[in-house]
Amino acid sequence: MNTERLFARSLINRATEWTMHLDAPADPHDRNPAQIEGLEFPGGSFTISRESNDGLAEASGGTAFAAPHLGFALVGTLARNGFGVEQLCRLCGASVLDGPLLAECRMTFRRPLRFDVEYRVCAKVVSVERKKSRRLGAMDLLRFIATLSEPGGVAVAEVLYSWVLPQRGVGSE
Amino acid sequence: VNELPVGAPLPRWCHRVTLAESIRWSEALCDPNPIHFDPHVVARLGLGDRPISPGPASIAYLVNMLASAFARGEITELNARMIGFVFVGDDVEVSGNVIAVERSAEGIRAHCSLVLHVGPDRLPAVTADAIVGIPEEPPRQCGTANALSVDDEASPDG
Repeated sequence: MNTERLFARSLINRATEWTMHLDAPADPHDRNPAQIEGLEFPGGSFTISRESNDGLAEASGGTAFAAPHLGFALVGTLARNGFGVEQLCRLCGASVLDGPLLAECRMTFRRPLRFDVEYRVCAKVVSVERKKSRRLGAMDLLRFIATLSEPGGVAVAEVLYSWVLPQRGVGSE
Repeated sequence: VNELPVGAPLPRWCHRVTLAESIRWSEALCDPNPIHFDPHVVARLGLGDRPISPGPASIAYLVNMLASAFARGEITELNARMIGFVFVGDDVEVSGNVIAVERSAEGIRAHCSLVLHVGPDRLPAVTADAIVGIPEEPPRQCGTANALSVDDEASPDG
């Protein structure tokens, strides 16, 4: 448990450092959703090794199967889309320190995931909608779609995300 | 699999969420969101008193359940809605049913409805629907007492 706490502390420090080095988030009042909708992510790529598959299976409370865990479609499209969770928050004038939450995700697989294949990640913002939650207050509902493709452009998977981004800076409007 | 009845319950999948897992998911996702590992931030935001497991981890639990239930199946669609928090230390249980079956020459598409419950009160935290493709089983050899092994089939003598 001590190791876990040390890990957690290190992540907290890293989160704080990342945030300190960022440009100041845009004023949520000034943000124009139309500027964000349709925005394409820089994109990226990733591969799935057997070792990382074992690690993800273990972190998911299960044993590793012969094929890659489908959780890699989430890891790849979130961590290797060129923005990442932290910058997605900034795009909407939110902060990752305010607790963004995954609200919904729709995954479609056209082919099984495979080991040691370099997958290309492409993504773009579908919509941003300002909402009000009784529990979270003002928030943005960010929808974006990400695709995984094999070399040659063969589509493998598509993930449509809905994320709740609390807007702590926005008062009761 | 060919007998897969509509309404059949799927085997439950249970697990206790740990802080180490929540941290590993955060690292894999490159997600510095402190609610996944810092209980003080969770409390400050009024969301609870324990770290909240990342949403993708809960989806991975759904995948585990389906993978256990359909050994030869491939998930082709999985739509998950997060309706509650999964906290570190929670006992989670994924349960579900087959709600429809489509048959084709390639095999079967099983439509499933899933729920992830948490804690002793079994509060629903994730609801989902999924489609699992299951290839048709190869026809059995008639007149043989035992199924052919892979080596037998590969043998040049047939």
